[in-house]
Amino acid sequence: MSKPKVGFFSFTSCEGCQLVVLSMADKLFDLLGAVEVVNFREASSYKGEDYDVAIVEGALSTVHEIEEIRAIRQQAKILIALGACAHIGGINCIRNFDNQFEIKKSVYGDKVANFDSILAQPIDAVVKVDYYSRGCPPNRDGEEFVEIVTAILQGKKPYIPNFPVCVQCKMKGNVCTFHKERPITCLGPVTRAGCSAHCPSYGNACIGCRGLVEEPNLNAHQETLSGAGLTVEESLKFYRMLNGMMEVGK
Amino acid sequence: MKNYIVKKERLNDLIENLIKTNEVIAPVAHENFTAFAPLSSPDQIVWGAPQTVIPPKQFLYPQSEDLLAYEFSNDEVKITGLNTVKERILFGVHPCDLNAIGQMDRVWAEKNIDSNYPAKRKAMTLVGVDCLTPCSPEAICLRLGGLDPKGRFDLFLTDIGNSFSAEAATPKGEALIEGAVAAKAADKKKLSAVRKKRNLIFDKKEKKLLPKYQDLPKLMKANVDHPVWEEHGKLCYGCGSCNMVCPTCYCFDVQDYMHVSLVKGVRSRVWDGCMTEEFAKVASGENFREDRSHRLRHRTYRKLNYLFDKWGESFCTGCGRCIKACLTKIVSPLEIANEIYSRKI
Amino acid sequence: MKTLYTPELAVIKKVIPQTPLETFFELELTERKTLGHKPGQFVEVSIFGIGEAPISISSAPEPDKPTFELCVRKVGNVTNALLEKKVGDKIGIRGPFGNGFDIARFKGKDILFIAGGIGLVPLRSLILEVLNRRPEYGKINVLYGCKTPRDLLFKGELKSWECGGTVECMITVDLGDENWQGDVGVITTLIPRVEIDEKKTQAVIVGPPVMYRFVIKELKARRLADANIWMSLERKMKCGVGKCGHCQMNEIYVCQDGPVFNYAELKKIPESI
Repeated sequence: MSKPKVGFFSFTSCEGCQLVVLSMADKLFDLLGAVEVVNFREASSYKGEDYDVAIVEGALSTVHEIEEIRAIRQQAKILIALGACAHIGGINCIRNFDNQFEIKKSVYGDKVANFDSILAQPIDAVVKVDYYSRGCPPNRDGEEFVEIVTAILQGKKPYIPNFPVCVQCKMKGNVCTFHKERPITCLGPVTRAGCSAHCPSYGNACIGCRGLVEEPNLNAHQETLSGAGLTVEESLKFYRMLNGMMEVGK
Repeated sequence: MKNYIVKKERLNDLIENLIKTNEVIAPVAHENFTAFAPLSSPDQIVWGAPQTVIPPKQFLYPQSEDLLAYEFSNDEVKITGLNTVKERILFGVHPCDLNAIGQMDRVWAEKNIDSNYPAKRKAMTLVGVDCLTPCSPEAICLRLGGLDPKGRFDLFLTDIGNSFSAEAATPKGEALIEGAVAAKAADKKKLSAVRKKRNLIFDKKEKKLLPKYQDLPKLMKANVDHPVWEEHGKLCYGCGSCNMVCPTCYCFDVQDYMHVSLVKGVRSRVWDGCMTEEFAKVASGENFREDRSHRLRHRTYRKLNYLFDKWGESFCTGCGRCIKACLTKIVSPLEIANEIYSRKI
Repeated sequence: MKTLYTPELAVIKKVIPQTPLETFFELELTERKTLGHKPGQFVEVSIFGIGEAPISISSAPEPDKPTFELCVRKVGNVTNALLEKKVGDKIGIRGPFGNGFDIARFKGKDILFIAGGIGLVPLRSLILEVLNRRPEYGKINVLYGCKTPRDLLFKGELKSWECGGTVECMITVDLGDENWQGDVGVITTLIPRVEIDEKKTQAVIVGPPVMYRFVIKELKARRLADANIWMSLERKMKCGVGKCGHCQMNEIYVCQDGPVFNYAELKKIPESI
C-alpha cells in the first residue's frame, strides 16, 4: 500500500480522541511518516477532499450527521471508528433513556424547533465500520491506534483482545476494585481488554469504555454487582453510562 | 541442607547490604495487599500476611517478553533471538510460591527446554520465608502440599522469636548467609517445635480437603461429567483472573508487533489464560473448548489431575490467590474437589 | 542468539494456486540441506511482522530432496500474508513438529486413506510416501471428499496416484457443477464401495472434526478395530514445542504427542473428537 491519505472527522463528541492522537508524541511522527493527513480539524484548518482512510470520532446524533457519515463512507476505502462515542455511542446515549422532548427543551429552550437532534447512535448503526479504535479515550499511549494503522498498512487484521479487562488488570498486579479496603464496583469482568487496565491501575473502576467482550457473562456480573450492594436499577445505570446502546442492539 | 541461626537485626543488615549491590525483590505494602517489588530499604518488607496479589512468577516469566526481533533491509530479514536476563534476589517467598517455582523449573525444562525461563531462573537467588499462620483466609496450602517447601530454595528463613533459623539448600544460599553475617548452627529442636505448632494452626484455620490428597487425580478422572462443572461454569466470566494470579499457570500467547514504518518488529509472548473465550480457538473459527464449564474443568484438571499424575504432586500449591480473585467464587480447586467428593454421581 | 522460538529462513521455490482458497508452496531451507520430516508432521510458518501459524507438510520425506511442500488455506493473518508471497521470497520456518505417522505400522497392510477437504494436505505426505514404496503395501484405496469440484486439491496429480491401476482413488463432492461427472454426496457414501478386509486394513482419516464421527461410525459398521484407525487432529498449535498450552486436549499436547493418533487411544481422551 502506498502512503494512504487520511482524513479525520468529528461528530457528536468532546473531540478528545483526536487530541489523544495528537498527544502520541514520539509515535505521532512515526505515524506521519507512514500516512498523509489531509483533513484534521484539531491540527489544521485545511480541508482535503481526497482521502482513502476516514478516521471518525463521535456519535451520530443529528439528521445532518447521518447524511455526512454516509458521504464519508462513500468516499473512504477504509473507515475507522475512533473512540467510544463512534464505537458504541458512548456517553451520548445516556439521553436515549429519557424523554427526548423534555431533554431537548431543557437544552435548547424555545429554539428547540431549530435543532434536528435524534437518538444518539454509534457509527456502525448507520454505515459499515472496518476498524474500531476503542476506548474513552483510545488508550493513552496510543499503542492500539498505532497497531490498527500498522495492521492496515500490512493488510492484516489488528490484534484486539476479546477477553475481559481483568486479564490485564491482574497482570498489572492491581488490587481488584471489589477487594479494596473501600470496594468499588467495576465493569472490568465484562469489558473488552486492550487498555492495560488503565482506570483500575489509577484507583478507579472500569466503566466499560471499550465496549463489552463478545460473550459477556451478564448473569455472573449481575450477581457480583448485587453482591456489592447495587440494585438492578443502579447496575443498569452503570452500564448505560457508556454502553446503553448495547441494550437496543445494533 | 545446612542450618544456621541469624539474629533478626543482623538479617536486616544483610538485606541492606544486598540492596547496595543487587536487585532485591520482596513483598512490600500495596494498598490492603502486598506486592513483589524491588526494595530500597529492608524496612519495606512485609513479612507474612497479607498475600501478594500476583505471585513472583513475573520475575522468571514476565507478563510480556520479547522472544525475537527482526529487521528488514533490501528484501533480507535479520532475526535475533532475545532473552533479557538479570541477576536478582527474590526475598520473602512463601512456601506455596517456592513449590510453584520448583514445579515451573520442571515444566519449562521438559522435553524441549525453553530458551528463556531457565536462564532467568539461573540468575535468580531464592530466599523463602516460612509462614507461621495462613497468609490469607483463602489459603489451602497445608491441604495441597504447598506448605512444606521441600528444599526448593537457596535459603529458607523461619521466625523463631528473636532470630531466624536459616536453612541453605544450595551453595548459593550458603554463600549468601555466610558471607554477610556471622552465623551459627540452628537450634533444631526449637525449629521443629515452631513447625509443629505452625501445622496445628494451619490445620485449624484452613478449609478441610475432604478427599485424600493422593486420591485427587483419581477423583477428577472419575468425574468428567459431574454437575459441578456446569454449575460453576455458568458463573464463570472467562476473565482469566484465576490464570493470571496462579503461580503454576504458564500458558502464553504469541503476538507480532510490527513498527509502523514496517521495517522492524518484535515477536513477544504474553501470559494467556485457558479460561478465556478464545484460548483454544483456531484460525478457521473452530473453538475446541467453547464451553465455560469445560474450560473450568480443564484448568482444574491441569492442577489436580494431569500434572499431578505426571509429576506426582498437586500443581495447585494452595496459595489461595485464585479463590480470592474469582468474583463469583467458582474456581477454588479445593471446593470443587470437596463438592465432587461429597456429591457422588 | 538462537532460541527455541527462533525460526530459520526458507526460500519459496514454487507457488501454485490450487483453488480459490488454497495455494501450494515448495520451500527450501537456507541453512539446512533438508527439513528431515516424517509424514504427518507440521511446521510453524513465520511471516515476520504478522505472526506464526502451524501448517501441515504435504510432501513425502525424500532424503535427497532439498525442498518440502505446503498447501495453505487462506484463513487468518499469517496464511493471508503467506499467499501474498512470491517465488524467491523468504519466510520463517520452525520444525518439523509433532509425531507424524508411524509408517512401520502400515507395512504389508491394506491402507484405506480417507480425506475430507483440506485434510488431504497432511494425508498427501503419507500417501506419497506409501506410493514411493508401493510394493511394500497391500491394497490401497484413497477416498477424498470436498465441497465442490472447485475445491479439489492436487487435481493434476490425483490420476498419477492410481499407479497404473494398483491404487483405487474415489472422489466425491457435496455439490457438483455442470462439468462434474463424478460422485456427489458426503464422504461416507464412498465407504460401502470399498472392500475392507478387517484383518488387514489400516484406515487413515484426516478431515474436519465433524467428519470423524461419521466416518468412524461407518468403519465400525465394517468391523474395523479401533486400533486400526488412525487420524490427525487440528488444534491451535501456537508454540509447537509443548509449552504454550493452546493445543492441549486433556493431558495431551497435540503439538508433541499428536497430531496423529490411534483411535483406540483417542477414545480415552474425552476432549479429542
